[in-house]
Amino acid sequence: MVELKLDSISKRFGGRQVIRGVRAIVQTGETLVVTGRNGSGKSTLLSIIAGVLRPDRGSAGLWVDGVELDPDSRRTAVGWVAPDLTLYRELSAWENLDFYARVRSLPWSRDRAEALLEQVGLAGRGHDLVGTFSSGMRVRLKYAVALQCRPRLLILDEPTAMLDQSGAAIVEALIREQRNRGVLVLATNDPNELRHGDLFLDLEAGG
Amino acid sequence: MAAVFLKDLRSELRTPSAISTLGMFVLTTTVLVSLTVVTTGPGLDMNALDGAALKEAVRTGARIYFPGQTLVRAQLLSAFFWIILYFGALTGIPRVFTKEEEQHTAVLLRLVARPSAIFAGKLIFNVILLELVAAAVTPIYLLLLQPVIARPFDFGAHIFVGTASISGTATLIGAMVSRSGNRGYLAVILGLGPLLPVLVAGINGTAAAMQGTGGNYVLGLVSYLGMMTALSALLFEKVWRD
Repeated sequence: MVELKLDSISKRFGGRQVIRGVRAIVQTGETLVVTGRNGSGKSTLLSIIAGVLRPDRGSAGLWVDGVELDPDSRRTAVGWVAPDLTLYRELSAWENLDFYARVRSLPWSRDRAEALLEQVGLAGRGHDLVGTFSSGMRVRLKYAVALQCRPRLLILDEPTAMLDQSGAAIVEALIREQRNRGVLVLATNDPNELRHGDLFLDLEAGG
Repeated sequence: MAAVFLKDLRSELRTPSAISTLGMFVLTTTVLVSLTVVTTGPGLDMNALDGAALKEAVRTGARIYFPGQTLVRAQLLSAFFWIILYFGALTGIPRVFTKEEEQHTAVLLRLVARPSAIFAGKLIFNVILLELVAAAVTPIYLLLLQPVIARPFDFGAHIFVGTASISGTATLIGAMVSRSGNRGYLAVILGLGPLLPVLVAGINGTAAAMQGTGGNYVLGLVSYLGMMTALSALLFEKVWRD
């Protein structure tokens, strides 16, 4: 059983209150869709949920089987795909996957890497440097990195931006798969993607 | 830790960033100093007689100066070496962090890697990087500025340990300035305080090794390296996260 508990999260940058008192509980199989215009704080909220940005107030706890994960355990439980996240352009796809698996101390093999690349439609491109990839291929590789740890919490920011039709279909499949594995948080302004949501958080409306 | 080090090494070998900044700075300033600064002449590589010997030489019209490196020259050449290394280090070493911020790879790194592993991996990378640069520039420095070195082993030991100390402190400074606008400027300013003891010990130590007199600062530099590394490791998580 996975639970994401957002408890009165507030964040201010300088004099601007970006997020105020966001509360939500998302459980296994559920998807929280976060909406709001540009600059409304969607990406900031996702950074707080991922654990890389501290809120001024409140907390974003990830619970698995009744136990809250500490920062160390979260490293192997959270997958995150966002336009702002970048992989190492000077490394190959395999080298990127290998690096992220090692720093997370995940069991890793070339077969697993190849299977992940195939899942995201990059089979046979493992040797290629990421710098030579198109923007859509880079997004696909970000999905492979996010899926490495079989995430209990998957965070997607504009999940199909830069992807072609086949890429969007892969994301659809991943979203379905995540429902069996844990919790999904999805930030989007695409009306087509709202259908994935079980819970909705409109930051423009003040959370 | 090993993963971060190997990633940085691979990345640096493919798209040289820190080593080119650091290496070119150190090399060009060493050549520039050797071409422009007078390091020979009376009082530098010629000692003057003093006291009764000086009076006698004046009275008899004998030579007042005789060949031999003075303490002033040893200190001058030492100071050049360490100042060049200091500015080079604080120009090049922060690149391992600023590169992560500039290429937007830092956010994902914060998500997946323990801060201690990042610090240790980058520290080892920086120490090796600066040691390699010091090893490459020292023969050029010796060739161009021609210091007389009475105790070569002591001279090398001070450079080796002092370089490691600079790398350790500069790694923390690099993490601190990586998200600010005026990174290079800030790094040099922030680094001066914590690195002043290293520079003073390094300058005095290599000058003493040149003259074959005075103290040995290697143990002091090792202690300072240990203290700064421990302190940096403790502070790093705070700096890296916030």
